[in-house]
Amino acid sequence: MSGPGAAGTAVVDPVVRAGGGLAARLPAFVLLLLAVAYGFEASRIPYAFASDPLGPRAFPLGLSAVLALLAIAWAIRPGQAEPWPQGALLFEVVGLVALAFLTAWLFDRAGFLIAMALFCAGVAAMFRATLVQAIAGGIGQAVLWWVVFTKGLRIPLPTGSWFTGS
Amino acid sequence: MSLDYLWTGFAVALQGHNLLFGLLGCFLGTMVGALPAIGPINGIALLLPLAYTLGVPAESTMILLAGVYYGAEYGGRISSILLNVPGDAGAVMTALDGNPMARQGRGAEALALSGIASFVGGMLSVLGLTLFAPLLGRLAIGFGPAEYFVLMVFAFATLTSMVGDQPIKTMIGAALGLALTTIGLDPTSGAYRFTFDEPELHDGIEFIILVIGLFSISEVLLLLEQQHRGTLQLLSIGRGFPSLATLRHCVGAVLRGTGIGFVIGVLPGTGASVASAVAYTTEKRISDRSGTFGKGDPRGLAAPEAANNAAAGGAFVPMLTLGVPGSGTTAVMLGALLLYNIQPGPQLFTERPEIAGGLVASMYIGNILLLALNLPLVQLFVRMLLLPNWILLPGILTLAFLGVYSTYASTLSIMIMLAIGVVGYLLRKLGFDLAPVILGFVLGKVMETNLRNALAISGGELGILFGSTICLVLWALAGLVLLAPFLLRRRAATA
Repeated sequence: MSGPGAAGTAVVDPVVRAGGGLAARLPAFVLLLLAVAYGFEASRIPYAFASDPLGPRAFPLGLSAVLALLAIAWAIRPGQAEPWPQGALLFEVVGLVALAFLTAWLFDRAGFLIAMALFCAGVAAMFRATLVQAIAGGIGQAVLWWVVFTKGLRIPLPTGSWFTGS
Repeated sequence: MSLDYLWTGFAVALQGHNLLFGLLGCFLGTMVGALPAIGPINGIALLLPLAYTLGVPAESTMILLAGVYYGAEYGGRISSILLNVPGDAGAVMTALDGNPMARQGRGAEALALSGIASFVGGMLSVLGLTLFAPLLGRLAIGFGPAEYFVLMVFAFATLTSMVGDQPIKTMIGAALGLALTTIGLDPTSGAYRFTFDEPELHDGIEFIILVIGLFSISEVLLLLEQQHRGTLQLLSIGRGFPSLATLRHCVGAVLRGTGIGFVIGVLPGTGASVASAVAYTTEKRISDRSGTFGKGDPRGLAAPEAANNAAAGGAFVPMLTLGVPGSGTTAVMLGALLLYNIQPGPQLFTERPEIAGGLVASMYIGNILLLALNLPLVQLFVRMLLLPNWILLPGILTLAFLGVYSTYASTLSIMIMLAIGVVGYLLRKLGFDLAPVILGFVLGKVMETNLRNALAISGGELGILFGSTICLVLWALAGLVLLAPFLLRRRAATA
């Protein structure tokens, strides 16, 4: 829960710090917007008939009202939150997410083996593997899971449309 | 009272392949619980798609998953005691006295004691489940749509007042889970809701994608942050077994922990983490006369360990009889049942005794297997704590990818899972607990359907929601659990 305070400032209880300020309330406002948009969409759900008196709109509409009220309550008392990652750490978190999406994109294009070997090597490197460990671990895991799934469990995995031309 | 379902269940659970599934589940569960990174929900979330894709029958899948659930409650203690890092939320309290014991060189004794306490807690709670579930099931036959709707309200009320210290966030989490269930085709009216003309969304958000994304992906992102906090020191476990005197010293703590754990487990919406916390604080108040709690008192270890296993058993009571899960993990298991098109409820015990009974019977067997696995094999599980993150986490991510891909055979599903994972990470950073989201998600459809059916019966008259004794009792209970924390706090403040 506690993060390092900014250099040079007095030591402030991080909980109290998280409780004040606009930045701490931003997520609550985002949620409020989301609730309103959800309610707006709910009010326009097209339907020809309903066999029950409530119909398909009422439950989501009620829910959007509840969510909006909760969002306002959250904005008034933001409560505790953990500090966001900064600097190199933020770069790593974003990098891991980007790598994961790239892997999903490569999954049936380059095939399971190549996509996962790259992915596992990348993730291993982020978790402090040496270069050799990362490469060996990446290839090893990709081959291991490939064998387990395609040979052991007989679940087919993509071989890569770039190579098979399909 | 008829226990026929149990005998059917033993016949199912003792079949060779189901015994193997049980053993596999217990082994994998202990592993999953022991690894500091992944708890029972992650283990179940990663195994469920595999079992489903491979065409494993429903009862075997439930036996496998229950084994993982139980095993994880056993395994969670290992990293708590030896590393002071709880393997899952239910094992947080275990570290308070377990880790000091290990520091005093009594690691082996602590591990054995917690194994025995877990066994007693688990066995007694399954006994409670066996006797209690059909009774509650009989009561549930009187439940109509209105009663079910109010029951869900009660479930969310207990969730709000017991889980976490930030009730607003718990409620928001549950509401978000509920909102997710409104995506897709509305079967009553045939309307497409929130699908934005995207065919992939017509069936709504798939359960497996949600669970894997929310828990596994967010977990890895959080671990990426945590590794900056320095390396962990594994204590050597030493040798030894609790003496008879120690065991006798702990009997009261184990029994009290079991009772507290079972009751809290039965309450919808609360599970092992709440149970072990209440058991520990209660035991401390009752037994800690010489101030030894927190310094390696065996009773401080035995009570929460008995409680978290008892809660795991208790949580199955409302899940099987009412279709309302007693904890985040049972919520995932409920989702698994729904995936197999099995709707839990009072009829489950009479119409599908092989499922309800097989599950209950497998828990008896599972507890014995776990005790047998854990006492001799503890060294093996300890060694797994030394598995470096750079091997473990790519493996978890690969399994997450494979679980989604093998079930839905689409890379778009993988991307949705990743997006949900990022949302899960953001929510956890903001201080949210993810169990309410899952609970909201598995209860959402049932809650809306029952509300609409109730109002269809009454012709739109809201009075039906207050029209029966069961409804009124449930409303009163819901109000009580919501107000209880405030009242207790006021009393504590004035005292």
